[in-house]
Amino acid sequence: MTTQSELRDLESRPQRYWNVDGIPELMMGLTWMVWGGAMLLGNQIESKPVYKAYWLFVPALLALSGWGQQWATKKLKARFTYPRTGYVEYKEPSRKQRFFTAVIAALSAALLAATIRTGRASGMEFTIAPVTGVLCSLALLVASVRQKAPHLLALAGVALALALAAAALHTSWDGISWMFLWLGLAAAAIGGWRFRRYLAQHGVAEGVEL
Amino acid sequence: MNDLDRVIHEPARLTIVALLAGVKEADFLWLMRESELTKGNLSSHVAKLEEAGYVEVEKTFRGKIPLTVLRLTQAGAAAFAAYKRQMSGLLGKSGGA
Repeated sequence: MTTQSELRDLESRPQRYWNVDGIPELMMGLTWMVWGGAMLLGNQIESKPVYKAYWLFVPALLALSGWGQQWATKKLKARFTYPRTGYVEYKEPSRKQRFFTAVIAALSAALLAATIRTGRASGMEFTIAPVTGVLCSLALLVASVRQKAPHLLALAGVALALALAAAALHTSWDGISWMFLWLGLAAAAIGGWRFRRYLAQHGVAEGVEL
Repeated sequence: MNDLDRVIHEPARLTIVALLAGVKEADFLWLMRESELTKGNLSSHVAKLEEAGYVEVEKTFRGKIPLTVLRLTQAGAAAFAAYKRQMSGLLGKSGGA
């Protein structure tokens, strides 16, 4: 007889399947590297009109990169994952899950607002990078536990280490750009390694139909 | 115990239903890998679940490759929820005895 815990395990398998191939971490890492690179590049521009035009155009592009990342991840999964280990279409998030996400987002925004408010007097540019690192670390920790994905725990550790390094080095605005660049590099490296291993372990399945 | 849904109570079919309960839809290959059932075994259990109206099977193509997509019906989801309630009730009773 299948026990209750076995049933719960079976029901949670689709969530774990999302991380089976390393593609999500690879795309997430590349996106973060683009963010970090774009912010670093923007801060190097000396001409004022170019600087203004850059910061008018780039934030919108960075905001859209989230959708781009999702689109590319789905395309890569359709190309590499589904023919090897099967296709899965995920359910829309439930009302409870949407509420939970909204609460987390509100708490993060409140923490960021508090940092900005208290940071003005003491120099916010020195606190923004460590706080962002801690927030990234917490988000990765939650994702790791919920999706039973230990590699995300490693990334949470990297984010925390980067936050501590930023605090110790007293980095200013560029600190946040470097954080995304390094965290992105770590995520892309882990994702790339896992993707390569996945491809080596799974060939394209042939002749499997009902 | 006699009230338990016999279609779902069979371990292989319970596995299939539990796996499909977590997704909107999935293909035969994914279900075969996750359930660790053979192709023939999975086919026969899916046929029984389809007969009971718990699973919907759609045969389609991805490019030139045949693709079999399966999803749990509303009746299937309701039956699975009822089964879980019954099981936790039974286990609760036996635990308290």
